Amino acid sequence: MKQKRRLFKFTISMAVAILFGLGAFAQRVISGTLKSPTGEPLSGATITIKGTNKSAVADSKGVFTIDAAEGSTLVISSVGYKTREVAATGTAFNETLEAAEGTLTDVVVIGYQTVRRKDLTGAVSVINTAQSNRNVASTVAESIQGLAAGVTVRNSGAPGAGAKIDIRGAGTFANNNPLYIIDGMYSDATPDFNPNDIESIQILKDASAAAIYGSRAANGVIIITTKKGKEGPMVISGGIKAGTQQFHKRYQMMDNNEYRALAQQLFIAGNNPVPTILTTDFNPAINTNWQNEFMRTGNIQDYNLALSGGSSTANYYVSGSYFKNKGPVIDNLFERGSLRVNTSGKRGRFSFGENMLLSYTRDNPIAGDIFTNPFVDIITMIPVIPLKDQAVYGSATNPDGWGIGLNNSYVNTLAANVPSLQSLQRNNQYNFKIRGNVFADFRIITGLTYKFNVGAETSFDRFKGFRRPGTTRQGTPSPVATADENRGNFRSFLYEHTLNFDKAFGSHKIAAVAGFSNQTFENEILTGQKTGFVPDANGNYILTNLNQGQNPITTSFTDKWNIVGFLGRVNYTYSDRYLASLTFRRDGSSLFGPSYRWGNFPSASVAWRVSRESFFSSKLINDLKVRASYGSLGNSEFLRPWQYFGSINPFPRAVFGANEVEQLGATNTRLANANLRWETKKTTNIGIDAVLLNNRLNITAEYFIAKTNDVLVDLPISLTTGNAGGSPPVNAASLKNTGFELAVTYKSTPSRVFKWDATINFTSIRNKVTSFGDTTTKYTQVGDARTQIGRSIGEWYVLKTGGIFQSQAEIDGYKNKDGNLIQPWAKPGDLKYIDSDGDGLLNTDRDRVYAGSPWAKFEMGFLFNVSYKNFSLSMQWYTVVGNKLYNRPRYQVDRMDQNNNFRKGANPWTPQNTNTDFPRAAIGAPDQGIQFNVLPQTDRWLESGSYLRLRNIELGYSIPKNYLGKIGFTSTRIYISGQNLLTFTKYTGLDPDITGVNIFERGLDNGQYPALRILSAGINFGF
Amino acid sequence: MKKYIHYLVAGLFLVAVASCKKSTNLDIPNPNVPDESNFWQTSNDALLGLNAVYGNFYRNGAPYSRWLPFYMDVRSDDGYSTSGWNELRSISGLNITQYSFEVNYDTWWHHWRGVYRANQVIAKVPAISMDAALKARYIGEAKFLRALYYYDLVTIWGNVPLILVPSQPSDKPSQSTPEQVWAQIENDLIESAAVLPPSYNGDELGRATTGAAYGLLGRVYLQQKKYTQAIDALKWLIDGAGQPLYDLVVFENNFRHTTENNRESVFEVQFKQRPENGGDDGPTSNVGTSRAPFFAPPGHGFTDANMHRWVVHEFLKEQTVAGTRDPRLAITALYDSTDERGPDFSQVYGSSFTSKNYDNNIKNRVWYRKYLDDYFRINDFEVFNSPVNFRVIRFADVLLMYAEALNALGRTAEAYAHVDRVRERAGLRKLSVSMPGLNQAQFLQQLMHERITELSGESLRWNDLARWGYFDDAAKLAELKARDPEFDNFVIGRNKYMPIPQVEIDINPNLKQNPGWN
Repeated sequence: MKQKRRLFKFTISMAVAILFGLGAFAQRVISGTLKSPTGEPLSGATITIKGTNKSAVADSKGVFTIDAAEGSTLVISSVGYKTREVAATGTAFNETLEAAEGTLTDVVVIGYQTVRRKDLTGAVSVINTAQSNRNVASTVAESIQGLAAGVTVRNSGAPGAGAKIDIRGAGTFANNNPLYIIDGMYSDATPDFNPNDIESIQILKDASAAAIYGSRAANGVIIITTKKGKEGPMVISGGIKAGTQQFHKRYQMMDNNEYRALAQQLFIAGNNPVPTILTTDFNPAINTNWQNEFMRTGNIQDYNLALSGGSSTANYYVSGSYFKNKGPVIDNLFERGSLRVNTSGKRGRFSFGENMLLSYTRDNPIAGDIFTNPFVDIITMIPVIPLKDQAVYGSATNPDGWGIGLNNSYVNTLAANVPSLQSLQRNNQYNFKIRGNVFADFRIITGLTYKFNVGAETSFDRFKGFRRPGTTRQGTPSPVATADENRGNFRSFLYEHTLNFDKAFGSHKIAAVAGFSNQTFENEILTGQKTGFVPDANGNYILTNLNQGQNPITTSFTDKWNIVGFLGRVNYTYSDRYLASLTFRRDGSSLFGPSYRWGNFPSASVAWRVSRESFFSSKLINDLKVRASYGSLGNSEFLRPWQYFGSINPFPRAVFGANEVEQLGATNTRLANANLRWETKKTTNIGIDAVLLNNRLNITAEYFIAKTNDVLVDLPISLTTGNAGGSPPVNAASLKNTGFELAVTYKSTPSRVFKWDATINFTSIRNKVTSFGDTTTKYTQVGDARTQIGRSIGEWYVLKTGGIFQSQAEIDGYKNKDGNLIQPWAKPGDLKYIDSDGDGLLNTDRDRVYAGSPWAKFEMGFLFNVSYKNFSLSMQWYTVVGNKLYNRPRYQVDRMDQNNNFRKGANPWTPQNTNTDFPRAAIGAPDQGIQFNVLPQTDRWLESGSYLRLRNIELGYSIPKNYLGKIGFTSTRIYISGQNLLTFTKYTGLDPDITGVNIFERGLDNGQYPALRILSAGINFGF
Repeated sequence: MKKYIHYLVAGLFLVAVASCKKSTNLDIPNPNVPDESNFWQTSNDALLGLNAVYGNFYRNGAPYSRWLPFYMDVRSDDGYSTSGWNELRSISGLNITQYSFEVNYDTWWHHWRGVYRANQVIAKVPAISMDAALKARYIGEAKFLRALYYYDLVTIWGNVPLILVPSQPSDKPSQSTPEQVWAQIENDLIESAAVLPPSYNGDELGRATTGAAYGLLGRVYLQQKKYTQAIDALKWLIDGAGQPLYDLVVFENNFRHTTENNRESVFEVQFKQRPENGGDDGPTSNVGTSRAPFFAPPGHGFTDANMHRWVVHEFLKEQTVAGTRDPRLAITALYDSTDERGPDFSQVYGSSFTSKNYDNNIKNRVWYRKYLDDYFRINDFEVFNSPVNFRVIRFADVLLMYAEALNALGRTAEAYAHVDRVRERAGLRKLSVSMPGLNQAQFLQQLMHERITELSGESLRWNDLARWGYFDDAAKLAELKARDPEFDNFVIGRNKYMPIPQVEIDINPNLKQNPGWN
């Protein structure tokens, strides 16, 4: 204690000495202590003498000293608190500031530093975590859909699956995931994270904001700060949430009789024998609804408990959580348990702290194999096949008798029995993770602090899979009983040394940081597999561990990579009016070859707070700031270690000799580009922040141009190269994203009983490919999407259809200028294709045209909160407008040349049925017209992806204290909540919120696990 | 106290700096696999690289595994497809619209993968210091394999680029003329014939030999109608230095895994059954052939391919000396009368045809029997890992090719003896006895019959038809249409070659789609 006091005194005297040293004109020294309503010291609060440029900053104890003339007024302001004006009387006083309503004074973490929101010079979005926590989400990304302008989130509904997040569009062809900084540790937001632990989320969007993270920040940065304990007695808070989860939509497929009638017609049209299951063997009792066999009502449970508290020198926050999601399809589960311990303390000039997360997840995903997409097969599988029938379908390779196509005249179908695969294949992925950091701060002198931060993340992954023998699809042989066990261990360590300098010199304020950062990564995988497991007498597989079975196969590999960086930033403020920031980062990465390892990433930004100028006077506008920034960021996310050399594949084998000896082989199979270098993204950002109407209306508008050069891409290369195992990465393209963002928030005048606020986020981004690496490449075609210079990534490039030929006369009339038929093979009822290039020939290559973009014209989030007395209602709407999706599941059921089920109401063209959108169809016909009717590369399968969705609605009630005081509760709130309750869209697939297959086929719905509807109720309490 | 703090800070720095040495290293060695900077150094590297070229045979689209028979047999007039997979059927149906669908994609791709692997050996091995004879042999084997890949490429797609050095990712080659490709194939085979050994012993059995090079060279010349050169090449096996190595064996021994690499075998792709059958190069790579499931009858395979019944009638045109049915029919065709006595006796994977209760539509079908595993997978479903080596060139074919070349040069009288060897093995009368004095055209017509009965289902038919001019002449095409209605879709000038996968044209603007497919 004695020691502490001495240090305290030392601090005060230092501060005073510096102030004197700067030549302040001392008339009288006033000192004081500033506290928040909860008693926390307000470190960093600014004390200005009204009418002068003189100011001081409160230290970490909230203590300040300033010299002021008698009778002057002190203006005390602090981030997040209402500014107070106090008369300078006496020499010492204690002040408590009230929390501010507005957000302008929020502290924003910008990486190695914090600034007040009003001092921001770059583009930063702050997420309202109360809002994001309303969503049931397995990742942070999923929870923030629609909550920030410029941030696009696309969801998969699969339990435990991550969402795809783009900050300001796709500036790279790689994984476009932003960098996550969690309590100072570079990381990613995997589903192991408990969203309830989050105190704040900040999204750094432009180069100047993110530049301190240099080569890792090109996709934007999401900074997550977890909760800390506050001074005072222990606070216990917790929550319980439970709900149901289901698909908000199902396909309307034909039942047994409808299917039977149409399939018979199609087999006959194709001149093929009708399977007897539709004729003599038809059993009207079998009417399998494969969606019902696969889908179910899932549920979620979420439990949280947190203990926190602290003293003036130390605090703690300990939280535990358990989340369980029984998926809405059979045999599908995700669960997570986590424990977080955050503590920090101060001792003299030192402060220490740690943040640590222990988490455990188990994922039992839906089973699939390379042939089976469950969300396609549940609609293609025909209703006349039963789920199971031992007598008909049972065989040595189908011991359970699952219903599948039988390779004879009884029934043929290539669709899979999805529930059988779920039953035969058991996969469980377990993950145990420790993530956290430890830091030590040493205050060298006031305003100058050294910080050593060590972060670590390690995860232990375990996969166990067992596949019982059994056929799930006609013609696909049953595998032998196979067990797989994989172990993974990921380790990453971060070492950072930083010096922070924070000082005001009269009207000049400088906040600077310089440092060294270095992170290592190591990922080890060990896999083991054995086959030929033997069931017990009852046919059950009990012995499934790898000490059973035969033919052991083991593999292991290690990935290692390191990143080294030097960083620095200076923020300069003059008189709260003129703000500038300069950032520099130099990064080296082992992912590049020796000559290309280092990259320099500078940025600069300026801002002008117009409203602080003396000439500015407006009753309407409370605050107005204009900002501009320019900077450069790097990216190497695309690369795996050692890709700058062609590696030798050690696995080829060749058999020789009478004894069939397998001789080893080795050769290069995947080509490599040796000259891989940094991708660089240059962003220009212009922004306006305005606060109007008595701080009730907040407006932020941004315009940006982001150009990425040397974009790393695994551009498909010619098959004639013989390349295998994936296209080699190459710096082969330039991209440009231009965008406009607007965020508007209005808060009602505070009153005791009725409050409301509303926020609109608007984002519009244009994406354009400006160059491709070599002279002959103008585009890359992946599937039915083409990425071409001058256009957006992955626009649909397909044949255009022009309706259905209703008569032979129409076909005969569809001629080129030489009088030749354009579709001579066509018959009435066939699709007409447009000869788009006008050369008089129908060409399945040259007549393709651009037919829509997978990129939304704009997207918008709308948030609305209202509270009346103890009731509160909040709504979150989200809309995406103007994108085109390719509905691959519909293609599978509408093509009608294979024996699948069909959509209800599907009625192919026949001479008797001409009033239809479905062209002539037949199963198994060697007929050119049919071949053209089922082309996948046509606009027939493209649909509008626009939608408007009630993402979340929540009704809450806070139980008055007097009802609960007896049991010790200080606050209790109960609520009911609905997620994805309403969706307005013309899209015919399960869900228009599509993550896409890859960057080039972003708009492809390949049978994706759709976003889900969740109804839940919960209680939050504190005592 | 302050002092201690300073020490502490200094200490922290030191620890941090020391810890950084390893963590700031940007030159991390790869512990997983060698890379090109340290491979191709030793004799063993050369051998590994060469084996990897052979290793490409196990991929689905590589020569003589899963897909090639669809191009060479099922697409021809002796086969047709009833596959439920529309796109697969369209290869046989001659009306493909999805040029990039899996089968056409993989077949094109896996051939180029073989070329790339061979090119690596041919380019890198010369610089390795190692036994000169072994080095020459390795390069010779690689050239043989490269020639084999190009033979398929030039006969399936016609207009292909000629790539002879290891590829770079940015390569976008233009097509060479078929003549240039043929010339390169000849060159590779002439060079490899000069350095390959006539035979191998023990565990090396199955590698390319002198005879393999000459056999393929003969086939290559014949296909181009360079008859004199074809005779010169094939002569090595028939009455040249290779003569003692080759003879005809019991017919069915050419299609069984228990009698592989026999005296009739000139070059075989070596297949082996192992329990795992991972699709691509990996620790569980398949080293068997996945052909059989696609050809097997209902209940035993997917039945994607059927043989036309006219092939059966071709066998029935002539009886053996002993007055029995041509014994090759039962080996060639699986149908209701594989056993002469009829469906009650014809065995389908170990049980009678009758017991299968096929409905009328299926009862009348005929399936390719060569390379089915029906002789040992009793009552079982075919699997993707069949052990039966594919006989790429067997001596009977060499004899028939030789006869064809001799006849084409007007040396018909000399040609008889070679056909007779093949016929006698089947128990048929010598042609010189049953049909003496045929003129050149008659003899060729008879050779077509001989090749159907001897070689059906061995992936030779399509190129036979091409060589005999069936694809360029409307009158001849009419014969094919009569035998196989799928040929109604055949357009002269288009269907002789397959379309190049569209993705390839999309990636490489220097490639032109084959005529008629745009």
